Amino acid sequence: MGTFNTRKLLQASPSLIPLMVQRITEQFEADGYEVESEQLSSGGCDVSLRKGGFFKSVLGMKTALKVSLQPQGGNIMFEAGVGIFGQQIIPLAITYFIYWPVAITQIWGLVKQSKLDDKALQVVQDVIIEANAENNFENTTTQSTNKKFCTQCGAANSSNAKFCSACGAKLE
Amino acid sequence: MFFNQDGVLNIDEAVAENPSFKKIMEDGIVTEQELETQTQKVISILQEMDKKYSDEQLAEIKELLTEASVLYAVYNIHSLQQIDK
Repeated sequence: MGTFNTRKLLQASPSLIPLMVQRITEQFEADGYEVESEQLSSGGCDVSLRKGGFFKSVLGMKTALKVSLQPQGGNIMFEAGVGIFGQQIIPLAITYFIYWPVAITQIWGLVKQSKLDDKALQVVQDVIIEANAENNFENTTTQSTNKKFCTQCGAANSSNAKFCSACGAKLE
Repeated sequence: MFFNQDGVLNIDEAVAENPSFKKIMEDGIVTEQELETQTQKVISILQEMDKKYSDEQLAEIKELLTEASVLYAVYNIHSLQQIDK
């Protein structure tokens, strides 16, 4: 990955990473991007996103927006930067072009200008919001099913209550 | 001269079109002989420039070569430092 990048620790379960990758792939492919993802042994995933225009090839090395989603302490570390298409994000990328740092810095400037990194982050955050909403719905449903309702007055009582807290009727 | 229509450095494009690069990469293999020939070529261009340009012009060329080399060196040092993290 390049020197300049976007990093954000997301408060979400690493089990959401495959869905995040799927959503990034779908949304960027729909916008005409070439997308490639690679599963990592850490449980994380690297995604390469490129389209003609500013993601130029530098001496045969196709540049791309690289998105990395890595599990970190029960959460997910999101990173976006400019790298080589299809190549795993490694700390030391083998580059044989002396002006490589200049090229990726300029391409990163175009990425920031187009807010592509923000777009990828937004896709990931939408997955988290969706997952949280589903969890809240499930919790609410579970809480409802755990309640015992009074057949006399309809009041909700805890599941282990023997008498209704509202009317005192015996609960079945 | 140095940038394409998007404002991105275009020296890589000049490298790709460079006759020396094309010849060396023709078979996809870089030999020691080819490295030596290219090294000599760079030295002879610098020697020619030494004779041809004024001290002021040479100082500007040297500054560019030095700053670019500094950037490449520190970029790689930074990358190596990331491995230890």
